[in-house]
Amino acid sequence: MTKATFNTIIHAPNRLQICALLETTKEVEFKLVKEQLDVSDSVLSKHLKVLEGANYIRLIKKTEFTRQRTWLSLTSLGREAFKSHLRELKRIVG
Amino acid sequence: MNNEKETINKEEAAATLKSLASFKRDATKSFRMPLLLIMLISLSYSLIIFSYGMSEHGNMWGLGALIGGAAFFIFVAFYVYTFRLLGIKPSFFPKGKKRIINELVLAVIFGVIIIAGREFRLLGFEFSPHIAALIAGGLLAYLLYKYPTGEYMTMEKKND
Repeated sequence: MTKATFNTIIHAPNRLQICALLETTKEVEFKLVKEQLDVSDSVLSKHLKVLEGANYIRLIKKTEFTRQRTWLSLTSLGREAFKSHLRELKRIVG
Repeated sequence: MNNEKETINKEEAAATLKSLASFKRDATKSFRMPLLLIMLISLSYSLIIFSYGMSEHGNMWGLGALIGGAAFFIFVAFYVYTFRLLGIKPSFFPKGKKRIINELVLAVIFGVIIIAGREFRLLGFEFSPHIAALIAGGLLAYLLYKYPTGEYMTMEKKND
């Protein structure tokens, strides 16, 4: 288990929720994440770009039944960073 | 990210954890499969266990186990397919030590129920397959309903 660290990239409320959502599943579609977070496409894209830049999430674009779908998944680095951030929050609370 | 705080105080951390738990609870509810599908999966699973418990060389209960297995596979495949259309790919393999332990414990519990259901009948307790099927089906339905993502969630306290 790595040391609990406060992660400023993950801590932003929407990004924290994105990580929480992706943690419980293998992959979730962009549209569903948008609905769950109740944000616009542009806002979600901005947050995803930050997480993808940190290599915390993976974006996979696939065409299924002639429909373009974007699937999001948490990388192992992202999973560990999210868990580490949660541990730090719990440590602060005491 | 220069404008983002490097740390937070106790109250902020507690509020963050609380709102995150609430968000996850709501998200988990939306990942829950329909009750009818939960019932069908649990019933087909019960049929496998009951048939296995009752099967002998001279009867047809082995066929019941096969039918139960096929039905179970079809219903689970249907669940995966519909959830994929909705935008969710469920995770079948546990990630993280805690989840692996939880799922191993569950595998042992289900394994014990299956074996006990049959062995007790062979020892003379006639209704043990019925009881084993009831327990296993009920437990599976409860787990599918309560923990659709396989993740253990602490329930919200009434005073929170």
